[in-house]
Amino acid sequence: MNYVSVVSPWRLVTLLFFFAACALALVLRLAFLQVIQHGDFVQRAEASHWDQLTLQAPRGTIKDRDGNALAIGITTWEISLNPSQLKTDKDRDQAVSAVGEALKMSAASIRQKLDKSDGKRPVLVAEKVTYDAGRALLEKGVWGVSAQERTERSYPEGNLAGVLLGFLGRDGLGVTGIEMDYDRELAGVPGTLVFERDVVGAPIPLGYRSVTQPKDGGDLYLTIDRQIQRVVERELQDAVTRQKAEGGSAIIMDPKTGAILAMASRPTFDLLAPNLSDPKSTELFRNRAITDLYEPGSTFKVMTMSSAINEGLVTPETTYVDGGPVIKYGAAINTWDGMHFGRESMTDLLVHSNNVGAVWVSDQLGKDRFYQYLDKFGLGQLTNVGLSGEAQGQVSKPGAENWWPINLSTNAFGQGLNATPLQMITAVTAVVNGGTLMRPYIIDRIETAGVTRTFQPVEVRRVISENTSKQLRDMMKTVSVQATPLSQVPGYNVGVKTGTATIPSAGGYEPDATIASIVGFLPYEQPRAVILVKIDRPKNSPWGSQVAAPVFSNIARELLIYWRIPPTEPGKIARVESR
Amino acid sequence: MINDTLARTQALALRKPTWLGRELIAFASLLVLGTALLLAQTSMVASTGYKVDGLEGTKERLLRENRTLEAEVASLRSLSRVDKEARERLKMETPKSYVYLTVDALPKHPTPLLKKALGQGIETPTQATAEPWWQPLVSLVVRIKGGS
Repeated sequence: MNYVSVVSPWRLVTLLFFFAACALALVLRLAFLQVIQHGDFVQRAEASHWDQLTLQAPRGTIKDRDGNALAIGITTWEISLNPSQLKTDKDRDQAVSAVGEALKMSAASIRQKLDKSDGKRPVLVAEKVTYDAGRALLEKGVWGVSAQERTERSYPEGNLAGVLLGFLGRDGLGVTGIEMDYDRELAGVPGTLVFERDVVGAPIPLGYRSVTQPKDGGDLYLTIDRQIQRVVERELQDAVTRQKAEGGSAIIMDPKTGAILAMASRPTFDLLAPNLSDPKSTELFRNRAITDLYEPGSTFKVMTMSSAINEGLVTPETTYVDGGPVIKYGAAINTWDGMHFGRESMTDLLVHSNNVGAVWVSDQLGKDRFYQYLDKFGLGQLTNVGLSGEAQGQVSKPGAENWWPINLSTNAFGQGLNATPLQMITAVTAVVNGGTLMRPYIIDRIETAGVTRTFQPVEVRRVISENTSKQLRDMMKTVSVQATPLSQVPGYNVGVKTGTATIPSAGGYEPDATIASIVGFLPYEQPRAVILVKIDRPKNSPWGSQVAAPVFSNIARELLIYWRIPPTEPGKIARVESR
Repeated sequence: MINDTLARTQALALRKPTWLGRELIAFASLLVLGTALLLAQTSMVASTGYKVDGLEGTKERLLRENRTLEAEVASLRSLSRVDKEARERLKMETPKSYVYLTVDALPKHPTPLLKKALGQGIETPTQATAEPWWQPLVSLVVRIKGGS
């Protein structure tokens, strides 16, 4: 007997509708994904398909005038362990042992760092690891060890010119000094690599790739000479220590060009480990030779005298009578030592550093001409040396609210106005070099990818005549011989003027503190360097002729030997204790 | 009946391929060959791509090593290091006195140091030094290898 199976039509229809509904749902879902969300998914696909890397541009090197590196960029590694990948003791032991062996670290110290971690984030176990050591560790391919490349600065000459060079922050950008001021030139331009990535993020060899090559940072050649800088820093530090002084600055400038051959200031900081967290330490980062203002004192008489001679009001032989303290607008102005010399010449005025005489000279000049010359010498103006933080200086002029007639008298011997050491040496350079104010500069050239940008000396203006300049050089030589024996260099002729300035405080001047300074040039016959030394608040002696003059002499002697300048009077060369 | 069928099958099997069959075989062979060539080429390009990547990595590494070496050279040339080497290893001392001599004319046979001081460089030997006995042989080999 045959049975015919009869399927209920409603069940078939239901099944048909069910499949149709499923098919429709799929179609709608597909349409939603592929049509409505098309753009979003394309974006997501591209994001997972494409990748971009920043190609770091190597930072340029800072070199001295002869191409000796002062700050050079090197690649180092930061080595980390990833606790999340080191779950088994075996993995952990292997990673610790590999890192310890490669970096010469004790396993215990690495374990200690790992134990302190939260177990999720990578633990930094070593930084500033040398390129070779880090590379060797990475090539071992140890599980759980990762490395981050970093660019560090290496200082082959140690702390030499530290304040001038400045340092980099953790982001690789300059924080202070030349590193900051010339960050754009040194940093270069990073490149980019856009590529198709595989599942692990590596570039697909046959995939699309677009590379914008990084542009290397430029090499900066300074006008600084490392030998001279070393001598200056050593002598300055010795003087500051010997005199128990609070600090000091020293600058050497080429009088013909305005190129700065050395620039140093004390106190300073450790370039290899600058402390950014302590506000007292951050005080040390500034370049005091360009940022700190001081009343120059008697060194300023050089400018007063050259102005008067250039105006034809006096000659080195002109005499006046120093008959005792001079009363000006109710105030008595006296000589620094209370001594008075009767009739004396302008040269003797400088030799005795006579304040009364300086007042007499300023009276001859009158306020208009006196301040015109200060303008010409660039006082109260930025020198535009090309370094940030330069102070402008304060010179009150007739007509200003804070100018009083007595200012003309006090300004004549360098009190009642202030300037930076750089402004002072720039002004004196104009006196020494034949009368032309040069713009000081410290960057000699920048070399970037075969293109060299050279900085040429800039003549700002003529201040005094050649003849006046010659007369002032003669007078400064006489000052060295007759008044400042400690500034002399046996066998050579030099010219100097010292200064001992009191320090202004609220309502007057500090009774016991001074700034001892000297400014001079060498050799007398054909000046090749102008030197300024300033010692702040020396304790053993307050006088520039005793505190700053020996520093000048030591630096000058080393310079003359370094430049192989033969002595004018070889017979006078004594046995010198050189260091 | 069965025998007939077998005979026909054997005859078909023994029959030479027709022109269409030959074309198909040739086409298939070409296809296989082309695919193989394409695969080989793709594989070669991929392999070269990896090599290029590797070489770029090597170049980067060498550039970094170069900069590290430059830093090392600079630190070896540093004044403090030179000073230390001069004092400690070579037992040199800073001169205590300097003697300056003014002369009207150069000596007949100036020393290399004097020449250097005058900016004339170190004297180079004027007489050719005698060649070692094996030098001509080396020169001969080099000439033969160079094809001249």
